[in-house]
Amino acid sequence: MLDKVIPFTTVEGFEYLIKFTTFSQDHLPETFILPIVDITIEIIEQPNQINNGKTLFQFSSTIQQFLDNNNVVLYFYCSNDPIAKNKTRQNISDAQYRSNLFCKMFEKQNIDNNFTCENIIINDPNNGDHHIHLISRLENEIEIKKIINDGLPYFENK
Amino acid sequence: MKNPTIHIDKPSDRLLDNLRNLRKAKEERKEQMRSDWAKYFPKK
Repeated sequence: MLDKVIPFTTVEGFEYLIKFTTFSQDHLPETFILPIVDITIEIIEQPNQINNGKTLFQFSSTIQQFLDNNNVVLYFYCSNDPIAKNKTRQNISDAQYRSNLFCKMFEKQNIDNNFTCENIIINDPNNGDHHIHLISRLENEIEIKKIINDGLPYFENK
Repeated sequence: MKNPTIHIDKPSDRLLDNLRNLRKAKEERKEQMRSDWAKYFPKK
């Protein structure tokens, strides 16, 4: 069973939930071998402070552990919900900031280069750009390329 | 290792529709998670 929710509390006392939800394969091309799993991270009270290194490490460790235990492709859509940004990044969208943060935390976690994290930016002049990350074990790089080339328009939530 | 980045400058209408739906579904999922909060963080 791939769907699960992982709660954790940061050292500052902020409560987070990380939810893994498998995409229905009904609408995806049959050539996709691996399950594709959405990650959603949620907090009830948005801290005014910027997420520190320890919190980012908790996120990335949880994600890495999930990938260690399950051979899947993780799909992270960066929402545009408000997020505390540092002063030099006030001019970028919340989704882009979230995406940059996600990249940074993943790069630090992936020092042994066991995983691949593909960033996809989709231009949408009417609704703001979409930022997506696809993450999997390095051996699945070709599968990720296949998803980007053939699958992105066909994702449907349950 | 730096993460590779792909830019899709001219997405199809279908892709954009799908992304808007996914964005909406994500908001609903977050709402559901907030409703279930007490299940994961029971008050002491």
